[in-house]
Amino acid sequence: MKRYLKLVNFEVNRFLKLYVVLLGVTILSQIIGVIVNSRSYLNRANEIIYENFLPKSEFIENYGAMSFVDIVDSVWFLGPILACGVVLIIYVFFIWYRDWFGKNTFSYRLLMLPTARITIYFAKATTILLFVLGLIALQLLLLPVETQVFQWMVPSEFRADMPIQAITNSPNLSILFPNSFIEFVLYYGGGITAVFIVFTAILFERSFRIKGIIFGIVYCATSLLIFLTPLLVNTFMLNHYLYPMELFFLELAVGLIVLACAIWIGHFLLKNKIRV
Amino acid sequence: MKRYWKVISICLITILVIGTFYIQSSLATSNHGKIEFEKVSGDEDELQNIMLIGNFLPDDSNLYQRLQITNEETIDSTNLSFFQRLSKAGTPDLLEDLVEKHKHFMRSKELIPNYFFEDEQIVAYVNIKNSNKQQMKELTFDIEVLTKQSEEVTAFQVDVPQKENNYSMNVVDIQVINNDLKIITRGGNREELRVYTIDRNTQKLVSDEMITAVPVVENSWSDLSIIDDTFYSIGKQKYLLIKIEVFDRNSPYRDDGKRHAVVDELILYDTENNQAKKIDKPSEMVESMDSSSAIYDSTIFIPSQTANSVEVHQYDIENDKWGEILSFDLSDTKDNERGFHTQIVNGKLYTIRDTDHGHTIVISDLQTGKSLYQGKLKVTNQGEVQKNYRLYIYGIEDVQ
Repeated sequence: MKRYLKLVNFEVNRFLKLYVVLLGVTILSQIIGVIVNSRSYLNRANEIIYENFLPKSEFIENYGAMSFVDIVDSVWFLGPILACGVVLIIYVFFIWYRDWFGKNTFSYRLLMLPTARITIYFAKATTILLFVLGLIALQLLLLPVETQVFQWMVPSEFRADMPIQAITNSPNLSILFPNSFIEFVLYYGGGITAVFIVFTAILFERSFRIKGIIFGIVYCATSLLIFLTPLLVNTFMLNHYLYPMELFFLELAVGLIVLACAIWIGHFLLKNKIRV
Repeated sequence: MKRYWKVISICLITILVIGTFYIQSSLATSNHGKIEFEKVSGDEDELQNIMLIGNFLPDDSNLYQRLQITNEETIDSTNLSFFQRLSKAGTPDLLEDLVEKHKHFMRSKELIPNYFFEDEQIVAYVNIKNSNKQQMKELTFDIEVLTKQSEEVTAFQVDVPQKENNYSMNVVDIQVINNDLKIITRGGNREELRVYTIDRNTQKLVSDEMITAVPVVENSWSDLSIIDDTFYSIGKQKYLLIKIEVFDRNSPYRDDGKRHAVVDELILYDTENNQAKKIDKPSEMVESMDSSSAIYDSTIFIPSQTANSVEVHQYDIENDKWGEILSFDLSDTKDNERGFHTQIVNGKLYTIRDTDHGHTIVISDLQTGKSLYQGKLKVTNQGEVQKNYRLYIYGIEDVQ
């Protein structure tokens, strides 16, 4: 356990600088986004109201009041979220390969540690999960701040206020914030399972090099196929025999099996096959 | 421990923030606007068996809550729990009961209300199977009947008689009368309604008749619709009311932006006797008909709105006669009106209006013309941010 904690701490520290940059960019870009979008709305309102002599109430009726969702849909807001996502996806690979291609043969030292090698595997996965959830938490912390800025910028008669829950339910953000806690666990659980599968595929490549790439791809495809089996069988062979609830529990079970296989194969490769 | 402060603080903040968010949002969903009825006059028992369907939403966004309102509770069906949503997924409201009670029978079926029939004794299901995917040939009726008491399922197939150029065909309604299974279909190279009668004992096709078809007019487009409040039900129905309109593509638009119909017919189909007859109607009648029209007992009611009242045309099916026009005065509310919903359910006229001072609801008896209940819809439990949310009612359902 202590080894595991140490390793997690070590991995987190290795990525921390870049992570802090990501956090900073997100905060900055989103707050600028709030200001820019509010300004442009107000400018347009001014133009229309003063140039066309349209009463305020009529302008709001015709063009609609501004809500925070308008800001959420802008590049300023979604851009950094997307960028963070891409960086983290790249880091899923990088977190392994930097040990091999880094300055010195670090992987050698790492694999020689007097601990079960699977701990390394878990530590890396934990780090990724921690970073993802950290970004989600940051977004949640940012939203109240941003709505406050929005309220300072736009006078109340031009504004349609919404609770944070309604904002996170808007189409673009509902991907990050599922409706209920159960769904949150399911979505991010699915995500971390995918990370485990990719980790194992990377270990295939590290164990068998060129041949390993093919093994890795075949392994990923097989995992996906196994995961989709209940759905495919229900649709094409059973003629939709199963109800959604039954299918869900079947998928959950199969998902857990796929996850267990990924960890087990990863463990096997690390222990017996990995080449430094 | 000191060495780990970064990891520990990331963990703590993350858990705290996400945890708080989900605790708050679960509190917020249980805290949605609740709609209550406030009686002005009449009998409150009138509210017992109805459910209002509506949306509760801010004026300028599409983040709405779909509400089902009864006099006891307000269900926000956009905010059901994950498992509630999962168990309802893909099942239309009308079929929920059937799925719950006859879980096994309902498996592997297309859950479209038109394909089902239910009475005290049986549940019947008919779907059309097409073994030749390219062309609409070799069609078969895929029939399954469940006897409720014995839980016995009879499944059989009956070939659909060959029709030339059948480019589409679907089941519109099913009725079971004694031993006969009647399948009403829509399709053909010109839009037509047919009824296929199948004997349940011999499992053979007994008859195949055309109910009505859209007349062929060159360079035109047509509209065939079945009008009835209970059309989307799966129970017994004595009558189907069919509206046919044909428009000439070349005719000029009228002032109201519509075209003049070359053909407009109202056809009443009696499912028990397999008889279709045209209804002579006052000229403007067909056009004004919409889904708010309804058949109750053996009277067709067709409501239409005027400035201060709702007028209801009534047609007595048995005596083949248009009765006097019922007029329901609604001039008592002087406020600026926005939304107006009229519907006939079980022989009663429901009108719901959205005024400056909230919604008013009036229930009137169509037989006597008397007002049975008048009241207001009060939004309570409205959160601070939901203050500029508005309520839109668009449907009334009978829930007995």
